[in-house]
Amino acid sequence: MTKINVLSIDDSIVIRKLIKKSLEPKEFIVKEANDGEEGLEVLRKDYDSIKLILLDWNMPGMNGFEFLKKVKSDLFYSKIPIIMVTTENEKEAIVKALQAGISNYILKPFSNEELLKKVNMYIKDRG
Amino acid sequence: MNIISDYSEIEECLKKIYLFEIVQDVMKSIANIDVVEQKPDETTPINHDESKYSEYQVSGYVLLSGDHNLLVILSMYVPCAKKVISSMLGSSLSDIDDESLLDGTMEITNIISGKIKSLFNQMKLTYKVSPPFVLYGENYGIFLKKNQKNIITKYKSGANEFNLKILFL
Repeated sequence: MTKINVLSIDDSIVIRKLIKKSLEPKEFIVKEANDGEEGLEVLRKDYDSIKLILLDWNMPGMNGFEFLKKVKSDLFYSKIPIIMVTTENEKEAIVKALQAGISNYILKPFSNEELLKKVNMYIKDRG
Repeated sequence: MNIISDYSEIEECLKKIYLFEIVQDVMKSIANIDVVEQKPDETTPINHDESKYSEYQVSGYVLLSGDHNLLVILSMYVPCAKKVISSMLGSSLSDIDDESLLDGTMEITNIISGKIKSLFNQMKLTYKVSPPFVLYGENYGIFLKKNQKNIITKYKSGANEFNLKILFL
C-alpha cells in the first residue's frame, strides 16, 4: 500500500504524537510542525506530497487562521484538504474556519477510529 | 446574554454540569483510563477545600473569563500524570519526558476547560478560555485578596489520585 504524507501542525507535542500513533500504523507518514510558520516551511519543501493537513487553531506564532488564509490564497497549496483539530470551546472558530475553507474538523479528545475516519474521507488515491 | 449576578449562581451551574462526567469522559476517551470520584457526602455534592498550598506536583491551569473569572486547575502527582500521558500515547512510563509531561497536562486541562465552557454556553453563559499553562513543583501557594470560594472534585484511578479545582477569582 502506498504511504500517504500528512502534515500535523500543532504546538502540543503530545497531540502530534497522538496523531502519529493513530495514523502511522495505517500506512500514513506524519510530518510535524509546531506552528503555522513551520507548517508553511514543510509545505514549501513537500507541497506535492502532502495530501492532507491536520491543523490546530490556537498556537503561538502563526496561528491556525493565519496559516489557513495563506494556504487558501496560494495556488500550489489551496487544494490540500485541511482538518481543523480543536476543542469544544472553539465553536465560533469552527464556523470561521469553515467559512475560510477548512474541509472538516475534529474535536479533542478524539479516538483513533474517529481520526482515521475523518482522514480517510479525504484520501482517495491510495494504491 | 444572561448576566449572572453572583458566584452562588455560577456554583449552581457547576453543580448542574457535574464535573465528574466531564473528567470521566475526557480520561476515558483520551487515555482509556477509568476514574472513580471520591464522593463527598450527599448533602454537599461539591466539596470545598480550604487548603492554600498544593500538595500535588504538576498542575494545569486555564482561566475562564467572563462576567466572573474562574480558574480551572487539574492537579496530579507526577507518577499519575505520567501514567495518564503514557496511556494517551501508548508508550511506556519511561518514555514520558518533562516536555511530554507538561504539554500533556496542559492539553488535558485545556480539553476539560473547553467542555466546561461549552456547557456554560448551553446555559447562556459566555466565557473566554485562556491558553493553558502549567505549574511544576509542590507546596506552592495561591493567594487571593479575599477568601474566595473554590470547588474541588477528587478522583482515583487505581492507586493514583488527582483533583480538579475551580477557583473563583
